[in-house]
Amino acid sequence: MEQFKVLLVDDEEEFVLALAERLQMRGLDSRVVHNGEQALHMVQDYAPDVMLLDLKMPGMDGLEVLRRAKKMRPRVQVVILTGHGSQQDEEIARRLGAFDYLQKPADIGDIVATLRRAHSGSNA
Amino acid sequence: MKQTTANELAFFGKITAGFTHEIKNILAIIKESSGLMEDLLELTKDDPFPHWERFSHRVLVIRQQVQRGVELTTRLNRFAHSPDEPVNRVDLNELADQLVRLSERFARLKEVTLKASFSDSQVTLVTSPVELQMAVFALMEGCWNEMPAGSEIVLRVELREKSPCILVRLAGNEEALAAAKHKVQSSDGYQAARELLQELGGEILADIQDGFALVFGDTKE
Repeated sequence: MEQFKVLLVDDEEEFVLALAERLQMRGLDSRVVHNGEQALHMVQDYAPDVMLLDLKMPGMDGLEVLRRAKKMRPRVQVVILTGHGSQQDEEIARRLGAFDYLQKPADIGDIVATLRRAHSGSNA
Repeated sequence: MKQTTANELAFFGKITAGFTHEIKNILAIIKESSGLMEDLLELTKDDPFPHWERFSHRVLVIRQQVQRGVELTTRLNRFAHSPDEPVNRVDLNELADQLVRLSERFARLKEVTLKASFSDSQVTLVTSPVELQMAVFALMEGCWNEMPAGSEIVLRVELREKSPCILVRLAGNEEALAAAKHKVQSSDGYQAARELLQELGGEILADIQDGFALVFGDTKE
């Protein structure tokens, strides 16, 4: 199985920890952070291939994280996973370079498939 | 609709929509937690611990109920966004589906089932989404209050001589339904629907064989 690094960014700790554990069980190297500032540090230090990013977080919101992460590391692929998103948010996210946009709660199979597609995209 | 009422509805909708997002977050936590339990149960399926099957069954029930919660919350979220724009373009197929989902609990208590039957083509109308939903709901409520147990209401969207139309069809025992239809026309729900439709530039036609037709002429651009 091709290995790649996934960074999960979500302020809902119980959600993101359980999700990270499930991704690990499916062979994906996953790290977790809970806010935008931590996410940007990890983009620099951990250099994820794919980022799974919530939109609405206290402090820096997901769209700002997306914009800055793409500037810092253009090859990082970003998949939005949100329970709050509007159609307008989706359009902005895609314009800023998001690979895909998923609604919470999503099926683990869909999340894994999207992360794998995003990683393939990053190598294209 | 008066501006004050529109503002009040928009406020009510905004708060409700905000809560539906929070509920979705909670459902997401439950879904991932039970999903993790499911993964762990899968790992132990060849060497199951006592009561493994009972655990497994309960985890499946949690998954099904989360799905049900997500569907309901999504419906409620769309409904809460109805007053965002006092006048908007409404897809009548989507509206019929939405109304059936939102109303089926009320009808079920009267032992009446609701269904939506979609038009092959898209039928849209520029109108007040809130008042239109109120009108259709009021008419359906008038119907299920009078219909015998075991009957059915089918919402069908179509173009009637080029005018957007929502048919409210009553299905079941024909004789009983003919009597019910007669009573519906003097019900509060029917009167409320008629007044709302007049405001929206539409009317209720009662001269169709198996129910009522809500026909719209002018649209509010």
